[in-house]
Amino acid sequence: MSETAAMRPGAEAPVAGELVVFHDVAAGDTGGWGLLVDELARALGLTPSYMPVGGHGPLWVDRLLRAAAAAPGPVLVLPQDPLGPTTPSPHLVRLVIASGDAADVIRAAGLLVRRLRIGGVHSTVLVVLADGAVPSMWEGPGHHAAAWRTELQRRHEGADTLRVVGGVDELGRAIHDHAVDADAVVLLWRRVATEGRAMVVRSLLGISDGVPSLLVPMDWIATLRGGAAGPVVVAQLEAGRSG
Amino acid sequence: MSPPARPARDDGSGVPLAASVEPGGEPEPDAAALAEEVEAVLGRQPVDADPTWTVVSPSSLDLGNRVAESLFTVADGVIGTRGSLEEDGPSADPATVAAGVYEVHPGTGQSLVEIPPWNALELRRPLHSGIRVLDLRTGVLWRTVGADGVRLRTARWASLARPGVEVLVAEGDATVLDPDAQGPPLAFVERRSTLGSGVVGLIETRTARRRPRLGPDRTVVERVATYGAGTRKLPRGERVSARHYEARRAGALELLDEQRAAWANRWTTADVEIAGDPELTLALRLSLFHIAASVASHGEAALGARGLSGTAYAGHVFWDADIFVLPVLAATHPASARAMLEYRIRRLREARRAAAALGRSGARFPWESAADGRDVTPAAGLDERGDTVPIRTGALEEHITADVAWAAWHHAALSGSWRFLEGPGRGLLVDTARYWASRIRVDERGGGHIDGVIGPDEYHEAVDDNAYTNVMAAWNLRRGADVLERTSGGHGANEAASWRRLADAVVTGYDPSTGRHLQFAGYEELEPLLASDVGPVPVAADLVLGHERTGRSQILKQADVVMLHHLVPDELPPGSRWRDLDYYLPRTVHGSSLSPAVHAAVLARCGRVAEAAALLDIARRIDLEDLTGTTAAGLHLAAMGGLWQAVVAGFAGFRVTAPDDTALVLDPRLPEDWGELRLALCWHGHGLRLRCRNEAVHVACTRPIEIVAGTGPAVSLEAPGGWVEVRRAAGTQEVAS
Repeated sequence: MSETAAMRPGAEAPVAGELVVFHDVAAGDTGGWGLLVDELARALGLTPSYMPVGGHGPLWVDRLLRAAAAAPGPVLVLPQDPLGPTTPSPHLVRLVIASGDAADVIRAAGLLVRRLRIGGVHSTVLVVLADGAVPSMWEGPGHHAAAWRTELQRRHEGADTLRVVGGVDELGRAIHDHAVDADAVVLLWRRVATEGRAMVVRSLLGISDGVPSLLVPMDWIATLRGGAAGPVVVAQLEAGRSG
Repeated sequence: MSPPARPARDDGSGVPLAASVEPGGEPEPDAAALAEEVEAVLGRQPVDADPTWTVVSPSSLDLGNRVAESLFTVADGVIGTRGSLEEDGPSADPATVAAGVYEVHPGTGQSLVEIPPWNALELRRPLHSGIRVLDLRTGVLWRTVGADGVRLRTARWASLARPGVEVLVAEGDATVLDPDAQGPPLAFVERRSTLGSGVVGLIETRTARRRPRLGPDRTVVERVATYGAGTRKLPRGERVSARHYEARRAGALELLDEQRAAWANRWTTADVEIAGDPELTLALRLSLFHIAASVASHGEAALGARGLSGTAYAGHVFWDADIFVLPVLAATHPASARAMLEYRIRRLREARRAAAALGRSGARFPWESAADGRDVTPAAGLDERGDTVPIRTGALEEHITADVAWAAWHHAALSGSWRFLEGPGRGLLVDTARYWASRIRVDERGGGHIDGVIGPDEYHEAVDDNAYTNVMAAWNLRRGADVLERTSGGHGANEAASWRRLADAVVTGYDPSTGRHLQFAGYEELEPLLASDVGPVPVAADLVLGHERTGRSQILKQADVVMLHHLVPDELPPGSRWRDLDYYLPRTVHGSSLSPAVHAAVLARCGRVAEAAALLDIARRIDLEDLTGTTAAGLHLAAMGGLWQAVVAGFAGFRVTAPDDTALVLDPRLPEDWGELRLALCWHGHGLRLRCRNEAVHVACTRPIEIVAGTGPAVSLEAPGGWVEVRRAAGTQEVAS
């Protein structure tokens, strides 16, 4: 039995091409988040598929992650606020967090940023320098750092802002800072949901309470490289959009 | 980028630089002859891409656009052009730079001048990159798009035979390659720098449309660009014109033949081949190629950290040039090594001023150098988070002064002659020694100290008695005394003697009770971390632990004490090599691209070839796998030079001591799976070909030569050479860790 079936008895497992949207089973109406969900799904070339999930706390996170690991593509976790965003953003702003091995994650984040940009979605990228995610060699500040940052910005072409942070704690603070203006927090991950793994994802699902979290598997991003199907959406979200 | 624009037709004086050319004013190029020549050039592409001589993209290595652009740079010591696609695109970073031509940017200081690209083609619609092949044997970058090149074929090179002449030929489907949109027939380029230097160029393009009997029309393009680069003033346009028209008269096919011949000749004294390791062979040849292409053979050569492959590091000259790259050229193309030393010689005056400004004598070379020899090290810069932090290397990293002296000495030793040191190179030994004599503080017990420096290990700043700085300063004093005694006619005897006494007094950090050197005063009181506490090497410890904690720990960024055993082994007590290696290697994270190769060399000298090979592999991958995350901005030429040195000085044991050397010294310690190491070198002005095995070496020579193989006595060989057994006396094997 798949993880999603366990969470929602009788539900069919999600299929490829779907953006799985996990929402609080007790919340009922998800209409407040509908616009956001539709825009994200369109930008990613996916079709929303809502799945209620019950529970709270760490066990809820565990179940969520197991379900997310089993999903064919990205999953969006809506906060347990049924009314949706109270303040419409002038434009859709995303936080894209890179964590893990620098080389492949940077590449993946770059692809995702460009895909979102084509879909009219703006991004702020936070590049995490943490264990296993730093360049192997670092000559120092000045010339080397300048060359590294220039290349980092080129690889995330399409992002409005790029910020380098060190460690999970600093990442959490940076997300808090940027979440004020963000419609969602995007986390790249490797679908490893067993206990003790995906600590960055676990901690950030808690931090981003009130802001939806989009979990994007690294392997799914790889399908974007080949010019994955999906309409090119150039949708500028105007100020004061209506729900 | 777009094809060359149509600027002025003269040098500003009203005198035409070239025959007046107006659209339609020149006779139609002979389309058939042009097509025939372009086809002849493109037909010279090697059919078989020898994996030890060619870099191919796309390939199994995921290079990424801009990393590939760096690796595919073509250069001739005067002009370097990144390997961007001819039509580039938004993700490209095309750049053409001129060696040694700098300008001042407000807020960022001196940096290499970029000139407009000469190699752009206008395409009617975008193409994928196709297959690109950099043939290291000939320095030609080939491109094929579509099956059998049906869409587009190009060939591009920077002429080693005529430095400053750049050639591009292209042939393709006329629906893709528009014959009428490739820029004007003749374009003039002038790029003046704010410092009075600059570049002048002529770019001539010929195009034609072919109408084959079958299939769509085809377009052929032939472009020849000729540049003159002046490091102090703008070159004269007439001279550039004259050189250009000589090149044009020769034509692309003859220019290609010259290119092939020039590189073939270069490789006769510069090749490396490891019979059992084609990947390493390719990496070594790639290193030799880019080093050779980055340095001119005459005049002065300013070699920035990234050579001519990009604008990173602003083209500033560091110790990378003197310690890591010059030894390669001194042993493969001495004229280029001489040009690098000329760069330093012409900046001795500024180095003397710098010493005087600090109240010292002699000459003090800057940590970062550019146009005029003044220190151009930035005082502050951004760190990885984008925060501004102070940069202290300019003020404190003084070992560069001894490094320049070492480079001059090494070049002379390889030449087998004192002529350079007694002549134009004298100041590089004597004035630098004089600086150290004024810099070293002598305590009440007569010990010599150098306080407040940064050594090669940049994790620790403002340290006292850094072993590398002190030992190199002492070496500098001794060699300076040698040169002074030879050149002063007796007048310098007292000063030379005082330098020798001072050198003997310098605190080197050597402790007889431990048999090893102390990295710097107080080092052992630091937090006793090992590299393994940080992560698998190479690892940027300052990013993982933070800069402050790293600076309070025993973690080392790169070879420092160990570097001494590579550069000046005779300065150090016997038996200290393996003890220093055993102590400092576990504490070294190789956070710098300069580190792995040096350790590989010293490990190989100790007979620890398996460990050496593992670090050599890291050095091999620095640019090929973009380990620093910055290869997109240019190649790490010092790492490339280090790779060659590790193989030649480390594994082959090729040793150079002094201009008085009478014998070629080799001591191969090769991994078993290498089989044989083959080298082409230049020693004492003559080309040699070596075949090294652990038990014997074969030397092919054109004149009599003496060989010391291992620890055996010198053996005389007559031309054409022969085998010499490698002997090792009992007790000369290093103790393994």
